[in-house]
Amino acid sequence: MLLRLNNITLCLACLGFFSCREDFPAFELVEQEPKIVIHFSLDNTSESFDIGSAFSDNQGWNLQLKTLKFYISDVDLISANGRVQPLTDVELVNFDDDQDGQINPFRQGYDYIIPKDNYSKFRFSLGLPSLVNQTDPTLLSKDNPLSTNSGMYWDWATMYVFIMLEAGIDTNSDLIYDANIAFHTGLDTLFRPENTYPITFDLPAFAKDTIHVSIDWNELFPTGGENEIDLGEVPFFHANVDNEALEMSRRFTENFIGSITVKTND
Amino acid sequence: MLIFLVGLSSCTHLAVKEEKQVASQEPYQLEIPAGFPSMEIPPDNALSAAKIALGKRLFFDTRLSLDSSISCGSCHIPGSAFSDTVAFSQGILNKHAKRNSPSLMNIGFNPSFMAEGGVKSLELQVLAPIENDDEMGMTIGAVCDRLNTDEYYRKAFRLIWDTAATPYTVTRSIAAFERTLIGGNSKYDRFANGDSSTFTSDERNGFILFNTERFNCSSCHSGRLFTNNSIENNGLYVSYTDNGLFRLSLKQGDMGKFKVPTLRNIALTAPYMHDGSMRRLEDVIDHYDNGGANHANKSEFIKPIHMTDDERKSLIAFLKTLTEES
Repeated sequence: MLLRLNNITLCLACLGFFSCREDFPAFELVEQEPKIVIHFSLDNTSESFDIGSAFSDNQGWNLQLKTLKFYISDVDLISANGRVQPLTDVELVNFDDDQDGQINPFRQGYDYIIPKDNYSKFRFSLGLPSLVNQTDPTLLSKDNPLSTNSGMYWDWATMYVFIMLEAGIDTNSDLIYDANIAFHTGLDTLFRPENTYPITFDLPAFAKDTIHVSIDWNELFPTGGENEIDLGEVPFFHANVDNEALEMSRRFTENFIGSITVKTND
Repeated sequence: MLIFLVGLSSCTHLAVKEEKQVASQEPYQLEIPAGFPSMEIPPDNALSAAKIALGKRLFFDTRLSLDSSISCGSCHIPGSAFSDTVAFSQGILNKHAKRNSPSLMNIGFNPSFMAEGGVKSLELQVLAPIENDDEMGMTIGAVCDRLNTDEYYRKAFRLIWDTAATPYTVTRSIAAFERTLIGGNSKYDRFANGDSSTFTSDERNGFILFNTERFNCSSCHSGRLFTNNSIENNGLYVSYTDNGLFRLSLKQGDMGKFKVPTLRNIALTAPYMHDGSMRRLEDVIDHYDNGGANHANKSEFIKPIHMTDDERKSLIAFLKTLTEES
């Protein structure tokens, strides 16, 4: 009797179990595409510095960084078999991420979800292509890098500043930043397309990696050479005030490209 | 349909009549004076009385400047043909603009804006003085934030644009108002429209001299608007501190070139030149009579004229007929 009861109980339990099994969803493993972070830094020999950082450069100047903003465009990763993976059309890299306690939409680094692949090159243009340079900023929302919120629009010319760098400079060696240096470059002629850098990482699903783009201050303002910029003599210009400013803008732009090194976490 | 009352204030010399007008969102038709060219209006900024009224209010609102000290109308004074009476207009915080404020009368007919003609859109030109640190010292975003705290503006923008004050709606509204700044009511206009008895003999002689090859004024100051809108070097200096078109084109041949201004209302728009360096109309006449300075890019039309005193007097008399009478 007891055995029969146990059998009946077992059957009832099995029935109950099998009737409920259909309510449990099948477990599936969902692959997450890898993420890449592009992060820019400004360095001086071996240290990085941010907005507000004080440092000395190889020309002997004491400086304090106030502003560094620049446009990058047509940013791509290129895989080992030549496939181009676009990351973004335009971004505004802004070293002043945190303005008055509020997160700025334009930052020092950006992240992107990308297909898993073996990537061998990182490529971007410095500045804006001519057509993009003619964008009407009033049509765009505040968080668009080309909006008037970027602070990079030359209203008098209806085009954009490509690179804006400003710093306090100590002219009397007393650690008081009594003057300013300012470099605002722009114009279609200073667009520098398709700057390509080798990288090596193979990003599988779920992976995250960072591409570190470092700008060397001392290479921005080299002493000597055909692209020399002596901060003591030419501390301030807009790209197009006169021939000297145009030449300085060209040198600054070339130096900017030349100052960049790219590394990954590998 | 939105209907609200608009009062249009009168101006001393110009064609803005004092009247109360019911403003609506129905399309607004500009009255283009006889002999004037047509005005191109962008499809995305069609005119309505309501939009124009909003633009006018913004034009004269000092809250568009950082310290709320100046408005567009502070440097573009109605009684001075919407120009200024000083060489460099006063901006915020006792700063000064770097160039002379041009007249905005008939501005809607211009194909380009700013002294070197670098801006092709009247709507986008609105940004330039607002965001200039020496002029209004704001960002357009900050202007919008301010406007959106004002109940009147919140309602007006919502009703007219179906959205808040944004860079787009603010610039379009102001440009809409600016397009209504149209003259066509001067003594010259009456003469040009067929009333030959209007002119005195001096004025008539001046008109003739103006159009001679010897004087060559009409080579650049042509048409009913008295400008061909080209960008020229008028030999103001041998060496320029303000490089004009060069800063846009980067071509040596454009050094010292500036937009040919209108001569309409010239009697009201002193001081003259891009830097306001000439206080009197007579100084301008002297400059052209002497053939200007020897700059490599000086216009071929500018050569010594060697006017007689009578010719000078006639020319000035004629130029004064270009002033709007109502």
